[in-house]
Amino acid sequence: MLFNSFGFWLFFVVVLVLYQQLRHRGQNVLLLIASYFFYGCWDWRFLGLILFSTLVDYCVALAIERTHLLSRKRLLLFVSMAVNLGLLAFFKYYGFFAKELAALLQSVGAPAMIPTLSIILPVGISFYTFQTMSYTIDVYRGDCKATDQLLDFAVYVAFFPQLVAGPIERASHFLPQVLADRRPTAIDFRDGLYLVISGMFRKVVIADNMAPLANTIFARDAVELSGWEVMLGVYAFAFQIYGDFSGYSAIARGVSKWLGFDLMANFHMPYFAISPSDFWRRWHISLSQWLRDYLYIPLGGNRGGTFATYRNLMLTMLLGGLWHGANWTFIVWGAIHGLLLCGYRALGDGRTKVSQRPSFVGRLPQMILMFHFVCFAWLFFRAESLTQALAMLGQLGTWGPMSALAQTILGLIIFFCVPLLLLEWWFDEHHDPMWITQIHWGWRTAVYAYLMLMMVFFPPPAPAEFIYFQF
Amino acid sequence: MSAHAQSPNAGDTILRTELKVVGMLFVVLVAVECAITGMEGWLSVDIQHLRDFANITSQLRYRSESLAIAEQRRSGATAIEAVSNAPVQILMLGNSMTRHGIDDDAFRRAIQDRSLPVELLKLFPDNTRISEWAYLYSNFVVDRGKAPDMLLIGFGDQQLTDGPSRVPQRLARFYGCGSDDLRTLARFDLHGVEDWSQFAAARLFATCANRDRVQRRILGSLIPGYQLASNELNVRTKASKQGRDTAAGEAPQPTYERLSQLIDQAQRAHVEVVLIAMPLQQEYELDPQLVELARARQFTLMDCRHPAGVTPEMLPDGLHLTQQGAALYSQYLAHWLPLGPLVEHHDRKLVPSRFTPETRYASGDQSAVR
Repeated sequence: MLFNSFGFWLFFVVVLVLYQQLRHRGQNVLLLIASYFFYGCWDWRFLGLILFSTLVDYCVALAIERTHLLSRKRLLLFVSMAVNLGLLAFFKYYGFFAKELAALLQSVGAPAMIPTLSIILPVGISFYTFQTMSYTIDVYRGDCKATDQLLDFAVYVAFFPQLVAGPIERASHFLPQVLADRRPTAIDFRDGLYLVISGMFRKVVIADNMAPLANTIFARDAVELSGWEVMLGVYAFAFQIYGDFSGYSAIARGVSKWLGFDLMANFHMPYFAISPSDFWRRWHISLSQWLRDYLYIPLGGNRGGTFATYRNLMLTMLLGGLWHGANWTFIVWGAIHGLLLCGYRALGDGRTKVSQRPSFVGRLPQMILMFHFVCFAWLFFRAESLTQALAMLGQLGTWGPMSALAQTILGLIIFFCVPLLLLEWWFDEHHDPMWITQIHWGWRTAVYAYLMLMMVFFPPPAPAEFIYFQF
Repeated sequence: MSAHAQSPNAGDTILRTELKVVGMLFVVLVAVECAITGMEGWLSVDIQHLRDFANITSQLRYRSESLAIAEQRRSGATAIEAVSNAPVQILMLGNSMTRHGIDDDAFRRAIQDRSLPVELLKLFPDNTRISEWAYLYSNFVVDRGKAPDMLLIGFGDQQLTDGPSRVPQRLARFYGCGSDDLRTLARFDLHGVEDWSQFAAARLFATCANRDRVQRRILGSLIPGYQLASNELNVRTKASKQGRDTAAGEAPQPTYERLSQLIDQAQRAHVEVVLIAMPLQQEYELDPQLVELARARQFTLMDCRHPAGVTPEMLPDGLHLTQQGAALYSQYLAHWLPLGPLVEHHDRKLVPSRFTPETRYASGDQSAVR
């Protein structure tokens, strides 16, 4: 059940109408049933996996809170980590590591018969296992109280708007909302309306119209491509993945607002970033904060000297890349971002306060440079293999007159994406991603009308699933 | 829960404002719907043609009338009078390949040589295949009690195999699909809530039925080379979808259920059915199953993939004939068209002498199969 489908909105209207009639407890029961139904529409066979993960972390967190022995707490935390990471490793990485290990053994002259399994990746497993792990770790650290309400905890794990593609919510932020009475306000309605319309626009108009452009380029033999085509294909993918993921996150936030929940913002105009650290403060914020708090800082962060800092950055980004999928292309993508973070850090990249930031025009050269670094990494992320990525990279040396296909791709990128960038620039100038909710209602209507008419008249040639469901 | 605090009055004001926004959006959408409905015909020549289905088919004779004339035509002495009073009505079903491929004047001139007055009616909506032609024939011809003397279906490659409609939104608005088509729609074209919702939306709103036309007009006028490049993008998108279907084990085995149904309907009304394999730049094989079907169901399958004089250069985009190619193809078609069955029992002289039943079944040059 995709957010950009009639089926989802039919489902949501039914849920919303029932939700309004119920009190707090009933609302949570309804949300849990709706969430399991929503997930069951993807693949009911994996509902047991969510239930298992929920029960393990519910019990472990309670046990951690009730024990005073540090060694026992550690053991319990280890059990939770082993279960969650074990599930993730089995479903997501077994095939990759089995294949690589077999190849390695073969290369050293010790061929081994490692059993291969055709394992289906459960939708959203990377998101909900990270979410449940964060809960147990927070309880272990004392940052969050364990709940004895299994129903509420199950809602925290399986809340349908963010179940399959995030944002990865922290228990300290989200669980109290599940536990408390909720009454959606007029502000929630207003904000939700903007988030849903803009999210749908990003998904339907931007992502799904960019997808065939990127797919066409990446499906061709690299030798057939010119430098222009490679570059524009990567631009198209950059906007596809941004529209796709930020659109999903915005819709998730919007429908949550209408249910009285406040999910964290997952994107903040990432292509206006001026440095790698700035980019990771704007892109997939819930994941980058998770990696920072549960990986980078426990590894020592920047407290252990220059070498240790660089090592920690690289490790964090490599694992961040691997989180996206079991493929060398994702690992290289993570490595590129790690190197960028290290490189900028070596050159003295620091946080700049908003009030000290140069004007938009002043930041433009840095933004353009950073955008191209990000696109360079996207090339590896999108390619089917490292060989393809390197071959396409090689074609960047072959410039000539633009082909008809390249001209059309450029025209389509400008037609679809420039208005989105202008809108974001407008918000950025006011330092408020929700600026549109503060302006005169007439202007707001005009913007919404543009977004909606684009959705009506520019549906994609083939609606695509959300990219991040596969991660 | 929202972090924002608000007084009840502020909340009411915000809610009223947002309801105004929603109301205005609704007004904008209604205005757009009215505008699209009003200028639907302006959007494309094809829409004008789609809206003309009823007019075109209204020129066909009623089934009983058609049968009576056919009987007269075959009844010996009065055949010539019957024919001169009521020309043979040929209904041609096809798509843009037929629209570009048939030169009316060349066809009429060539058919006159065969001493048989013919009235040619053509239905050739763009981007269609058997999935649409079956509804078109059923809803605009059969359901209205009409029947041509001959039904020609011009196709290329796999356009006669079963498969879902590529333009379900147009089925909803222009093909007269109603409650009696629901089972067929559910079986072939609409699978799941999404498809049905889009179908219903297109049935209700002109905007939903025609949005791809608006899209093409806007992008075509703003982006250089869009038309050409979009073909490549479409091919790639289609190939990628087919690849996914194949990987999922959903690659359709060619079947001809819809074609069979259409032929049943036509043959029940004693309509002579002729399928014409049209020329395409890329070679394609005639499916043996289709040939077998033609034998079993006693209809004519004309192989016009290589009409005399038509060269690959006359198909510059691979699909559509140039004017010169269309003239040659139309002459070829008119010359070889098996009009015999309409009169053959009693009036052989109306049929070219070389066009004997034997050559119709299998001729070296034209390979007609019956």
